[in-house]
Amino acid sequence: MVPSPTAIIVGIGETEISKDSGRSDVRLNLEASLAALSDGGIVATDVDGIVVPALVGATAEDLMSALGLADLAYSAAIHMGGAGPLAALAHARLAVTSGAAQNVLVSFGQNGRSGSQRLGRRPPRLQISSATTYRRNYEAVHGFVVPAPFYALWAQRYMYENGWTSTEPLAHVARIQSEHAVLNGLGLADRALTVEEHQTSRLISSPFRLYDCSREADGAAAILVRGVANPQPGDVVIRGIGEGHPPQPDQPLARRPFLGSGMPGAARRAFDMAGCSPEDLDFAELYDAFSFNVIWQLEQIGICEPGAGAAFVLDSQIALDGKLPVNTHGGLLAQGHLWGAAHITEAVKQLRGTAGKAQVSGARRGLVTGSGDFGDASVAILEVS
Amino acid sequence: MGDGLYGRTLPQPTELDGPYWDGLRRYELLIQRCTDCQSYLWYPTEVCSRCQSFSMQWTPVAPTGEIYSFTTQYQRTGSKFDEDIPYTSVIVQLAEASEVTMGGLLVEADPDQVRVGLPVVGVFVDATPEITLLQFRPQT
Ligand SMILES: [Zn+2]
Repeated sequence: MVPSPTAIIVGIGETEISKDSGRSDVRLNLEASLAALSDGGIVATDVDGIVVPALVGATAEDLMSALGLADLAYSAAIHMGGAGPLAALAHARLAVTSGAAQNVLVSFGQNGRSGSQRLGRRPPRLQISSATTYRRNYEAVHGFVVPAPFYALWAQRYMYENGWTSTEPLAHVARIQSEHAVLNGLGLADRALTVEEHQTSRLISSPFRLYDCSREADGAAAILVRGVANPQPGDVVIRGIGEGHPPQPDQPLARRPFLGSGMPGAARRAFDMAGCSPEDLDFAELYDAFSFNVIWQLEQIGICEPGAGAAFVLDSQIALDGKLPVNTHGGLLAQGHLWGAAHITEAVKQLRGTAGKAQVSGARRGLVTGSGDFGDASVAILEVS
Repeated sequence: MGDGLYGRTLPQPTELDGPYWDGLRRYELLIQRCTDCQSYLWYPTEVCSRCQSFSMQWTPVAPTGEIYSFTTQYQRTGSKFDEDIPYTSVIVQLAEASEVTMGGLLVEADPDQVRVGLPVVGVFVDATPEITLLQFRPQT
């Protein structure tokens, strides 16, 4: 019996991250995709699989037409909100390890800042997306029309249960990630924030202030996954990957337990597949739509004991020189919100040793998370061979 | 999205949740209860998620409880609620059906006084002649 191929990430591509790209969603995806193919040493027609990570951006058909793909062997589309890009990587892995395809492209890109999807620019769309009746009849009528108040409810309850007296831990997440973004140099943040700036910034959805919220952005990032018989030294291997879903996945206001999420299950599956544990990680890129999500995930994926996330952050253990550097590119909070696709490309750069001034020295193994759609989650452990 | 005098998002009742909205018009909160395992179920559902029974009954429940979590909205969202900023949205854990938490707007409250555990009572607001909404205010 021939052993299954191993899935490796052979190519990554990114556009610049900006507030106004001046070009279409499809164009952004194509630029990032072509960069990923070039990085992976193939031409467009070598792509035989596409996994579409989200319901925005480019469709598989957009990419097939533009890249001239006449005989695609595998396609899939993910419906997991911000967990989509990483969940797409799991499907890409399945495709190449099963032999369904050889070179699978995952591309996310959109004009999230200048385009029509920007929150507040148009009537809120949450209520007319999936689960129309839920969104409208039990949430939107009570003012829950955009993501921030939902996450604010989770944060508020978490703070209550853990006895927080201020949001200072959130301020340190914002501070540290802005420092990373400045070192990274590719995102929207052009300077490092102070804790005081965070604490005096305007309220958005209490307890969240301006700097607790991710920065909507224009841009794209793409990843090329290949199946190989024998990974070579230096190859970036998808060592473990898993997804998870919360109870009552589409009923966030009634969920029991209220702070339940798909993240613990996704992490357990990823660590089991990889055969390692949280203390074996050199860095982590955690999906950070809001600052709170970082602290929440540190506990959900087992890096910190329940309730210990705040102390870990206050002690700067998520900084580059800390115990576990987190969001080395600045994340959605400071670099810009590309639905976590740039979390994946940043992890690959860290493992290749090409992450620039924000390089974690000697990085061999890193964890990436994706989260969205009210608690869906994906976790991957990437390792350099 | 409904407008009229109320001016904010209005529900579109369905066959499934019609009894809930009909109850609110009579100033009554009805929640589905499984007649097999006695669980209260929210959001409205086709089947009991605890025991998979299809046998459920819309059951009157007092619209009182405690704030389980809350958020006060300061940032515009592009919706009709922007006129009310800052407004507070809450999750209420019902006193008579503690397995149920439901969303609501909190009225007659100073945002600085809102806290988890605050006792609240329901306020029935006739948004239109057809639609009554359940909001909450602090218990006095
Ligand atoms: Zn039942």
